[in-house]
Amino acid sequence: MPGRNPLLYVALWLLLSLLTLFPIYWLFVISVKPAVDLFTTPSLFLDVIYWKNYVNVLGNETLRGYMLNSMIISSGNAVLVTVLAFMACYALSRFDLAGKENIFFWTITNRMAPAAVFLLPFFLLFTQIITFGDWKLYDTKIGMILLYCTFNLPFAIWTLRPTIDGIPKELDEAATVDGASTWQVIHEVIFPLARPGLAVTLILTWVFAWNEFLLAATLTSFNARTITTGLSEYVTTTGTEWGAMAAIAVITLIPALVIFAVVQRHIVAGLTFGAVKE
Amino acid sequence: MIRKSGIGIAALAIGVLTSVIPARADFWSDAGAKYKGVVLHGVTESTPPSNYIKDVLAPEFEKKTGIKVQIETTSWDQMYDKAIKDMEAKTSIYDMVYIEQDIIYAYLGRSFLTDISKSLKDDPSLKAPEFDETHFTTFANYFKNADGDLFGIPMEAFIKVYLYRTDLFNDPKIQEAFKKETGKDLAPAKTHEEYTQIAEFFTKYGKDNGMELWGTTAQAHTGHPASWYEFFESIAPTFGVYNWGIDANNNYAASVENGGQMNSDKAKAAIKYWLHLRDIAPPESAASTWTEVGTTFAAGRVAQGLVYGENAAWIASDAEKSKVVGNVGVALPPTEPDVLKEVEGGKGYLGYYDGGAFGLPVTSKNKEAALLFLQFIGQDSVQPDWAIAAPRITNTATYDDPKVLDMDKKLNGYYTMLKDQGKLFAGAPPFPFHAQVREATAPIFYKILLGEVGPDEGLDQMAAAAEAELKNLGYRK
Repeated sequence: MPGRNPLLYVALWLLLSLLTLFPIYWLFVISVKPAVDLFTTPSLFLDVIYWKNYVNVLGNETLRGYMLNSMIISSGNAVLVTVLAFMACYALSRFDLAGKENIFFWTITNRMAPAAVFLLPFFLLFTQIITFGDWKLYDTKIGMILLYCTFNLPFAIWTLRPTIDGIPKELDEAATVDGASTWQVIHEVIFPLARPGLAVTLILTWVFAWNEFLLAATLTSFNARTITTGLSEYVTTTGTEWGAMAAIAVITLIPALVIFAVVQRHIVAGLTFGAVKE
Repeated sequence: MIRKSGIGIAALAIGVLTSVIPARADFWSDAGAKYKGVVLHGVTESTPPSNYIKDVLAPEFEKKTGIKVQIETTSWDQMYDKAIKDMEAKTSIYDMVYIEQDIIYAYLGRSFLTDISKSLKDDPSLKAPEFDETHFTTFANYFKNADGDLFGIPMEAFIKVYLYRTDLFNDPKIQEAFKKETGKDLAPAKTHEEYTQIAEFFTKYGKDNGMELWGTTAQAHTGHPASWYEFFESIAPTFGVYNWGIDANNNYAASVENGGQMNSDKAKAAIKYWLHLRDIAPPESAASTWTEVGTTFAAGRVAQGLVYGENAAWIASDAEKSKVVGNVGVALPPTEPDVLKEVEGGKGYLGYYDGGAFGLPVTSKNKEAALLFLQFIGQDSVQPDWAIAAPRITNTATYDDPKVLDMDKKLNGYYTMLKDQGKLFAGAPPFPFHAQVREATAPIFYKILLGEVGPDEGLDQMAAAAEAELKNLGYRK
């Protein structure tokens, strides 16, 4: 029993940390090695630190553009998805809609097929169907923000619903009796209480959009290319630029880590909120 | 004082003269004026020649014409996916697409591409004075139709060569050890037998001396088409099996019984030779594709190998990526004794001549402006710097440029070989069913590599599978 032995706790914690942090450490090691050493002297430890991969990547204007696109698309999508999911969950939780459990289940069906299945339909939709003169959704940030709703919204609804269900309906009723409108109830009662769940939804949605590759690779070209698709430029016929790719990967971890750090205190609460009903 | 007034008078004279003489018309600015503000979009694979277009030629063109060019560089599979989707769905996203030599026949079969020669003939105002189709090397022939019209501007061309480590081959101790073991002088192999001997020697030498050194590369991935290509493009021809062993003039026969060569004795000898090399190559060979053989060589892990020429320059000259800088020799691939004569006589080829071109999709909405850009990258004047930045030569005049001659020395004669012996190499056979036949036979090929099927039996199965697929596709009657 670990409870009887604090040393065992420490050992388990260290083991767990090692297992989870090793891939990130290894990524960092690759990012600070010259290409010539990657295959000739593979080593778990760093002999020399070669920062040139970072200098090259950070000095690349195109990559910085991709990074900004990723930031705009994932943040836009995360906010939009969280707002829509919040509204949907409130409706599913508080109103007696006919077949609402079916609606709830139906929302997740979008995630039951692989994303690749949706590639061609979305390509045609973005290039030929939703067009206004020369303007198309293809290769636009707004297009990508909307596109990711298809996959992230169902997930967000399923993540957020227990949170909203967990807020006692009596609080809405009390606010209504006090003269609050529905919007006031949502804004002043539900929203503050659902904040941990919303934070979890926001962060996970953001990460999903930030990491997505397949759809972005097909539906963006010049204006809305994301950093994950930018990585594919380093897979060339004259070799894969592992060092540069690893440097980009390390850099792309940073915004996610910052956001996680900011909302961390909400995450545990959000994940367990509504898990137990009284 | 006198000097100052002298300069002033000279300046005045020049000013008067230039105001009297009419400004010399610049083709690019004149031709581009009509399309000023147009943005051309192109998609290509992320390779050094393509990056040169994106980073150097496109901005230069924009400066001269006012036409902006955006080039999307991406991975090989993404590049195809994007270009084909665009041309199939007629979405007009791209004005230029990269055409690899082996896919041109499929693109022409589906009428995806604009006839560049005809377009320039039809509208002479678009024809740049510095652009001349006859200046391209014979590699341009792969991008022409039966009438000799050009459908792509060559921008990348290289041969798959035999690279060897000069530091090892010239080491007196190693030479002595080789002589002692084989009774022969150590020199780049000319025949398969010699190549095998050298490979076996170095693999043993590496093992005996505790070195990370093996005798040969092998592009022998067990689940990637690169290994299939290594066999059919690089190994089988050196045994006299050309065009994958499929005889287009004989009802597309693949099997020996119908007149093909895919499962001939020569093909069977070729695969056994190659499998043996694979077995004495570095352990990563079973996962190596076209890029990894270059990486393996650059890491100094092999004494010799067949490597795509596009990698030759960085392996020989980029110390940040290569441990064998200055120690790379270039030679023709080894062959069976009679094959080189056969090839020099005009029958067959002894290796792969690969590369690509920039084509103009028929779906482009900016064809005229794109035609200007394609001519811009096809001019002689832009070629030498491009050949320095990336090991590719597409125009004959490039070979004689002093900068290129200098680079050739660093590459131990790679460009000279391309110039003088490029004719001994060939691109993919002109098959529009390229991908389909490869996909029909590759699974059996991987089974051979994995030892699940014997090489003889495997090639028999592959020949049968190729013929069945060709029948399905309607080629074989």
